[in-house]
Amino acid sequence: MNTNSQNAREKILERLRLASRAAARKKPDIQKKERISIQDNPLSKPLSLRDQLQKNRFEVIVVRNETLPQILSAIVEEIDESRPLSWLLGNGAVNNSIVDHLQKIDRQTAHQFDQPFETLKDSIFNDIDIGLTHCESVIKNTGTLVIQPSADEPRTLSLIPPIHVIIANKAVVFDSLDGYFAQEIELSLIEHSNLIFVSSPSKTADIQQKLAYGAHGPKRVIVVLSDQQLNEE
Amino acid sequence: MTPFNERIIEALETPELRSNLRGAMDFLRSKRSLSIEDYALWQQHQDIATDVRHALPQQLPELLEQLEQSCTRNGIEVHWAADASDARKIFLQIAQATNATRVIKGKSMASEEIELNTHLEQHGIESTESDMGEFIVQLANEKPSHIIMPALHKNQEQIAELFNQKLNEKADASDVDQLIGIGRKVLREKFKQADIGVSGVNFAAAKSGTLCLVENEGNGRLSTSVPNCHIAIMGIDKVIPDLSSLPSLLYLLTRSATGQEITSYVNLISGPRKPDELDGPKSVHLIILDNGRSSIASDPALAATLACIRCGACMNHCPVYTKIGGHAYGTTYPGPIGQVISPQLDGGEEHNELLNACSLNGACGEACPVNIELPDMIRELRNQRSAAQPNHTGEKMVWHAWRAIHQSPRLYQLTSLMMRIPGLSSLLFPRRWTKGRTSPTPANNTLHALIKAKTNHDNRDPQHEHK
Ligand code: SF4
Repeated sequence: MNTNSQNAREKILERLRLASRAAARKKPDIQKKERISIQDNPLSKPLSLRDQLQKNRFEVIVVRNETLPQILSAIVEEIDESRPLSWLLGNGAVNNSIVDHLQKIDRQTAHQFDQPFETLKDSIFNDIDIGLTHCESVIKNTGTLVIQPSADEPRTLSLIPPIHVIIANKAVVFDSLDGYFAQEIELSLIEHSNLIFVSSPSKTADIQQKLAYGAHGPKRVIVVLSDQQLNEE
Repeated sequence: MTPFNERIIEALETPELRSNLRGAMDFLRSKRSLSIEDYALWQQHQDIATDVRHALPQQLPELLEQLEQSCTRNGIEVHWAADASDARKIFLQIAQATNATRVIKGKSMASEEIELNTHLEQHGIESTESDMGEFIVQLANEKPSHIIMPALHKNQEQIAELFNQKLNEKADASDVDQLIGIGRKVLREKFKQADIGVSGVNFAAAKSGTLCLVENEGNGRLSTSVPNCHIAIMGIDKVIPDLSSLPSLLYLLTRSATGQEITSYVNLISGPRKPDELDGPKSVHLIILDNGRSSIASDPALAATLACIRCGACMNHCPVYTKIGGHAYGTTYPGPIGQVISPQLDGGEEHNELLNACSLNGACGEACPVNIELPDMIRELRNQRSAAQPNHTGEKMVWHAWRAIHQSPRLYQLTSLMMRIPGLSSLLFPRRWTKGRTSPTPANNTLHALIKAKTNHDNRDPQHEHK
């Protein structure tokens, strides 16, 4: 920190300490709004996980006992593009084996994020159609997938390619954000310098309030879940 | 006429602006009210968030020091800026130390406050706004007119026209997807080339040293993940003790701002790229900006405004903002919250005048998710201001007379009688007021007389009690 910043720091903190002492002497009451009790809106019954995710515009694939090649074929089918597609995946054993299987599917090429971003930047921006990441936590009532970028699965994997595939069939399902924050957040923060809560494809309503998808991030997000997580029987 | 009045008149005389505003306000208000499905839950979150945010003025010094420690531990470099000029200097030093020539910006009101773009341009550094709304506003050489939806004063046709002119694109005014596609294409190049990414901060957790950013487009994530260096700018009021209140704050913020249950992305950043990581910024800087906020903390009448989570609900519900839009205020933060904090943040006596743009209807206070009593504050500030101006004898006399009349029933009756003398009442209204309006005609009977008549009638009607 340079001296200027150091001076500013002292100045700001000094003023705030004075203000804080004054505030402690004369603690204003917070005027909370009057309570209104309203009957619960029957329409506001929470949606099932699948419905909530679909409402958020995720494309959901549900698997039961399928093998990895079967799951990957299902994803390719869902993407439904006739042109050749270029995938980008992370590293580590699980991703390695996905890459092997993907290569065997027609018209699919898979690459791995195995060098620093600077080296791969142009090709990630220009050539990659699909980024694939895993996800360990899903939040039901907001339809949110928690992405935890790591050395194996870098940050931009879920961000730059126009299609994002999330393999979440092993994820723990939390009822609400409150639950996730109470149980998981401390640990996740220690391990990851970046955490992303993804609740829909990238979107904007900045032009005359009209909703458009694919603003800057992925336009489509495909999520793989297991039937057990959905608990729908 | 003051510049503020001139801007108001200009806004009111632009029919296109008025209809754009009307459309946007109706949209935002109805989305917000639809998003509050479970009112009991809303109140629960409101209690948590209100407690955390209103405790802030007292805790600020400790929390900021703690934030500094945790961020430093996480590898984030912390800088302190007493005012806008400090912040600009710090920014420029970082940029020059890395030979940066291109900056890409996510949405940040703090950077608007310090007029970062203009400053960088002056030093030969290109600075591009990447939020679609901000990008549109920058192309048009304007400033944001709303803190959440910066370009809501423009309609689709105006935006297509702008893209045609400035970007040399064949923009189709009827196709929003195509317009957004153009923005995406142009800005992706900018992301790729940028040396520095700038962001604001929605909340900064002191305990863990975590910056929380909320957005829908993904431009915030790109700005904070792609360039080599990320600089975040936050007002000192963005700090929260820890992340435990974040779910409640997010619950209120996204619903109040855009009527969403949650935004597409909630981005928690706790540090730069780690040694074993392959992407992410190699350095992260946090500029902690005061710029008048510590004087707000010292003023008991204003301190509660530091609880603000910048959701924009107070402006969306303000009948004045809805008519004149954000530009008329001439401040970084328009609408009710802007009326209260701008004299402190932007400096200058002229912003005191903004307090006149209020009908004291109280809608902003009702809408505020964290219980900031904006109407009380505006009244209090008007009070302080009029106390500081002892010369308005005319106004004082009028109010003295008003008080005398309202304290004595006899006088009150007499005046109501006089008001009904034809021609006399219109004399009482100032000419400037009646120039564009018909002066009201007094009713044939006074309210007193009507109530009296009704009471007599009810007493004579024995059925009344059972009705
Ligand atoms: S004052 Fe309240 S309503 Fe207005 S922007 Fe701040 S939090 Fe939102």
